Amino acid sequence: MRSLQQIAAVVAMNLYTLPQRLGTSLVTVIGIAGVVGVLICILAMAVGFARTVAGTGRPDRVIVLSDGALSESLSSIPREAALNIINGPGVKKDAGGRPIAAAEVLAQIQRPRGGSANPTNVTLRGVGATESLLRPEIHIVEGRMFRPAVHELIVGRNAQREYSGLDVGSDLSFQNGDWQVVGIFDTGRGDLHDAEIRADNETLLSAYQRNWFQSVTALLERPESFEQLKKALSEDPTLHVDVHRESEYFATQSKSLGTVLKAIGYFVGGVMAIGALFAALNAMYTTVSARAIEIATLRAIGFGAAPVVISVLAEALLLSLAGAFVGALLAWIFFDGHTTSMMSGSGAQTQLAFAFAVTPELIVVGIVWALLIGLVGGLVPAIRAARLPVAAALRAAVA
Amino acid sequence: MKYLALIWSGLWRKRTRTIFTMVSIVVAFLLFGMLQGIDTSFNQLVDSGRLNVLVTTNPSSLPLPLSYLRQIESVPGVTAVTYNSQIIGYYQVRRNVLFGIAVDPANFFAFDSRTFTVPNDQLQAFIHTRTGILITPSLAERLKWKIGDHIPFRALQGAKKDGSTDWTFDIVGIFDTPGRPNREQPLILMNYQYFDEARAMANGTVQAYAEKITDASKATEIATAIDNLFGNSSAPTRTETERANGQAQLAQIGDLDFFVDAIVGAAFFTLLLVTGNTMLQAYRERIRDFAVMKTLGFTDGGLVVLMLCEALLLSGGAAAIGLLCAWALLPVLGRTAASIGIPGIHLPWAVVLAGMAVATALALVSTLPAAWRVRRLSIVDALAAH
Amino acid sequence: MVSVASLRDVVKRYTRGTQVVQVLHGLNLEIPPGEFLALMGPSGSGKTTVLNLIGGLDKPTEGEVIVAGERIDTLSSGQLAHWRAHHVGFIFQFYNLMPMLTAERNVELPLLLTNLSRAQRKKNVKSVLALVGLSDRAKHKPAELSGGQQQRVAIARAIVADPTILVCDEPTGDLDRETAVEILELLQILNRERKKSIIMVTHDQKAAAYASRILHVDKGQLIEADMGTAA
Repeated sequence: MRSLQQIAAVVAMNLYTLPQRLGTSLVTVIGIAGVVGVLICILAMAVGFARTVAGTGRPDRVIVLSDGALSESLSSIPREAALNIINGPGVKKDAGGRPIAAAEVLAQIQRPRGGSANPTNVTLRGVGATESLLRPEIHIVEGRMFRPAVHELIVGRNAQREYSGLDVGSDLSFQNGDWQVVGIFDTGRGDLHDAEIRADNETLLSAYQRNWFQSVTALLERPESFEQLKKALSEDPTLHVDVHRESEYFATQSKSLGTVLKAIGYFVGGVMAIGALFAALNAMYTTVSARAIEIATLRAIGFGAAPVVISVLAEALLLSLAGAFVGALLAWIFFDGHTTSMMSGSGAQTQLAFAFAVTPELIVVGIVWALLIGLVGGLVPAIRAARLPVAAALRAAVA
Repeated sequence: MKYLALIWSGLWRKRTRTIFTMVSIVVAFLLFGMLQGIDTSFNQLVDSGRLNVLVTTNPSSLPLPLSYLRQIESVPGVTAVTYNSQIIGYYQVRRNVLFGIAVDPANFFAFDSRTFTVPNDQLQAFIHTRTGILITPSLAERLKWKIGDHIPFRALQGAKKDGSTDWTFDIVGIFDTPGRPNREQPLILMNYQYFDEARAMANGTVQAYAEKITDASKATEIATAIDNLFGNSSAPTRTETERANGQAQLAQIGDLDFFVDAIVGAAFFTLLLVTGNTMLQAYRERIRDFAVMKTLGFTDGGLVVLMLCEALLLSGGAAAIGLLCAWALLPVLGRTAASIGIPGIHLPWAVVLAGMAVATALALVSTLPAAWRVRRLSIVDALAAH
Repeated sequence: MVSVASLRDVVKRYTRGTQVVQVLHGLNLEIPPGEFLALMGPSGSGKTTVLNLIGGLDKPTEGEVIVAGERIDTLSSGQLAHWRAHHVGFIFQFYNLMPMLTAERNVELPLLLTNLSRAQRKKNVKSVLALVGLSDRAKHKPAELSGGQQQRVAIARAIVADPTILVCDEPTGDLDRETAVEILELLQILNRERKKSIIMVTHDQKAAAYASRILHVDKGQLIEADMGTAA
């Protein structure tokens, strides 16, 4: 108990004199806030992206692509094959006995992004008549759904935010036709599809004068029906396709970008952490120097080395914690929910719009990093403080 | 410089502090060098796009008919037209990405013989061998390929008529793009005729046309003229200069400039605070030394200049080390990036110069608070305090 | 004969927070050239203030200060710095050497402010170090020297630019008896053989005895005392 009292006393003394070292302490806090802020921001991109991807799939929904195609945009399925797939075993039927599935068409439209002049590609998806049953998560939040056989479009909420000229009533001109935006849709959970523009698949096909689709998306009777459908499709010699569970498909799609973002996050964060570490070391060394006499006096009186070490460490950890909170707060205020878009998908030109997600887990990661920096930055000076030659320090005080 | 010993000794007054501060600065400039280096590399790559060459593509990324060739050739101002189709695949393992470009050999090398070079005998072999391919020097080096090798190519898309995605090619030569970063990319040039006949879909189409024009200032007119030819067809075109095309592709990656600026800005802001604070601390510890220098006859201005020189030496030296590390590391990153198709990553001189300018500014600004104090330093008070 | 230093009706007031303290009340002092003057007195008496005024480290609130023929109370701080470099050498109780410089580089410092060539500077440093008897310690840093040796380096630094007057603030305050004697003897040699005018503040009667004249300062006033052994 006695050493605990000692520790408490010295720590209290240390913190009490902290205001005298305000300048250096503030700088350490800001340094660490910078590291934590940047780390959290970059990781928030990775998390936000992963969330968008993960939220997009359902275990009982499958996407069928041509054999070997790594993504929808690289896949091609002819009309007959698409029909066979839609009528495959294991596909759920609606009240009227029709399969809840659709062959979908993908195309790219060029729109300028936000404030820049350079147009980038937005995904245009041609969906089937069973869309509302196939993807019930899609809700029209503004305007209305498009009518088939007419040049009408609906735009996902993220796409509307990210690109200009995609509001209800906007006119788009492409593939020698004029199209009009008649509605905005939202899945409400930051889905990849929220970054798309949609039209009727047959209408789109005729506009592009094409007769083949990119993929077939189907709802399964039960998640377990996957094997049944897969078997049937692979045994059909006229079909060269692969069936993927949606969740798995999207997970693979995002893997490379997700990994890259995480790698960048940790690299940049790591490098900045080294910088912050040395700022913390500087600050702690200054603390120890400034308190040399005080520490020597304490030691002379009879305080052990441990309370001294702990008091210096406590100061370092406190500053780090403060820095972590400031950094996390700034990241959260300025970036949480902020949308951006990045290129993704193997070899494809698809833009994916998603939102930064500053989650509690990330904040914890930030705090852990900060505390680590504080620990390493405080340890050596703390030990140094305990080892200060008492007599010499006291003599210097008297002189 | 007779003051050098004095300035140097000032830096090492407190060895650990100087080393710590140096490391912070080295780290910040390493980060700057890497990030800004990548950003500027990309921008330079884009800027190397020519203004007297146009690129014609389909804005919805679908292929264009080969029949457009004749019509484009007849547009006034166009002196040469070439075309290509693209196919991505790999050699043996996914890691060995290959970018296949299907071209008409004679037409392609005649279009731009200065940028793309190949020895004539190899070109003839390429023209006369259906399954022949030309490879970049980096491919030959990395995968140990030689002329005469049979190469299996697994396509990621573009199945053949028989349904498989396995192609086989024969290496008949090595082409080069001297001075351009493309030579680091894993490119193979194949015969368009062979490619088109063998593939299952999109036959008779190409991915893009390129046009050479006589007058770069007429680029927009000629581009519009080309696009007008196909405005009402099922495959409309979008024609722009090679440079504009590159810029658009860069914009696809995301807002890289903003990203890099934000991070670098945050890092430098923090660094400025840390360094400024260190300078101030160092000054406080050396008040006595400064007072003594004043008694010896050093003027306020003289002391400020000495402090500045110290800061410049510290800041400049550390920045140089950080940039040197970036200079060494970037090409390593660059080689890996090039092998998956992103060429040209290195540390441009512009970034080095910018870095040194920032280091100078850092030294200046961080010395300001301390310099201000030195001018108001009372010798008597400083010396009296024991 | 023109004095090497004169204070005429000098008044000095300090403001400490809200309080105004007057240290000198119209002091007059003439120091003839070649004199070794000791100033003694209790703390707060103003003796250090007189030293600072003569050395050009401080300015009087009223009155005139003339050193080496120049009125230094009217010089700007930049001019004063320049003047100090050429006319005054300082010796402090705690030596005040630059800890990261060698003895010879410390001594060279004042010469950096002149236009002398590198060779010339080296020559002057060498001769002055020989004068104080430290030629074999030229490459040592202060941490490697004893107190007495450090003070000798300080003295060498003080005279290397050939100043008109040496200003010493408790030069032997931190030295043991034996070393103090060495230093004081060195100062005497500088005064007698090199004709250096010296003004020294000290607590120590025995140290003051080395001077040619001793003045006591009390409450800002000068009181003449005995002549020292240097007379």
